[in-house]
Amino acid sequence: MRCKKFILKLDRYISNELSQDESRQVEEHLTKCPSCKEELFILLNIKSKISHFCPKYSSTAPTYAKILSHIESMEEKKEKIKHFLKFDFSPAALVLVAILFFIITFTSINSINTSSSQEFMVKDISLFEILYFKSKTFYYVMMDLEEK
Amino acid sequence: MHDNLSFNITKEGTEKDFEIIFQNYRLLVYRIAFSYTADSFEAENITQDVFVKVYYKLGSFQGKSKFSTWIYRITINTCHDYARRKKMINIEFTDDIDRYSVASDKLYNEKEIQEEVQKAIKRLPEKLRGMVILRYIEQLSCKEIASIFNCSVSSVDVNLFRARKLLKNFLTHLI
Repeated sequence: MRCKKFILKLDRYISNELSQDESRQVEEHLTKCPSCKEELFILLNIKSKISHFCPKYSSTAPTYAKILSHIESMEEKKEKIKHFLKFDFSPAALVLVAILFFIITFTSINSINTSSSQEFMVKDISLFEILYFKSKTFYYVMMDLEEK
Repeated sequence: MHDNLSFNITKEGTEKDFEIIFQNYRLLVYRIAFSYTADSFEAENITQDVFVKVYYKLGSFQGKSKFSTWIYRITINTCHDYARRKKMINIEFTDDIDRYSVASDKLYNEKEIQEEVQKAIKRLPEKLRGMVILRYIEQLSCKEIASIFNCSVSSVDVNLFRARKLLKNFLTHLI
């Protein structure tokens, strides 16, 4: 437990990122603890391996012109999507659709409620079922009228 | 570098600042992306994504952290996203160690060691990989790394320790 506390600080110790007091404590511990000394050796080894043999690259970083053209093409796509989604709904049309929707829904519920021949309860019926039922009734009424 | 720049968030200002930022941070971003992926094509794509994000988010930079910290954070997050998208290697060290365990008396040339180091870094879990790159390649302080990852310095200590343990196992024949 005591060792772990110092092992965790080793990285900052070798980079001089610890306070004077902390550094002194780590140094004291290192003189007494061979396993932490071994850990310090491993840390130095790994650090030097990575910094010396880190991936070398031949710069193919994108140019400013390339980034700008990419951003421009993204902007164009955004504009196209915006244009596509731009519908000119007039407020009056929206209000009319809303009123029609409520009329159809409420008349459907009422007709089911008042109809004694129906054996099912309104609370068990989904809106979709109500609309389906209503349209079917409407179809039969139309067929009757045509026959007459 | 440009850590004390106050950025205008007007359209014109953003584009002008963006060019300066791009010229100053282009290689840094590319270097981290390359260290992360060890692939120039992927590094180029990541660099492009990073600067597109910078372009759109520049107005939201509030100056609470250093500008370089902000860029590092975007770069590391983009690398993580990219790794997740591409389902890049993220194997635990217990898995298939034999592949990397070569007889210790074998002599390695520089290129072979470089390849082994690249493989070892690439095998680290995303977060640890990011921290190792920032710490041992970019030579950032633990405090800066903590700020980039939005965590405490002691959490960075623990993660770096975990990363070293994994690297020690991956590079057992070189250490």
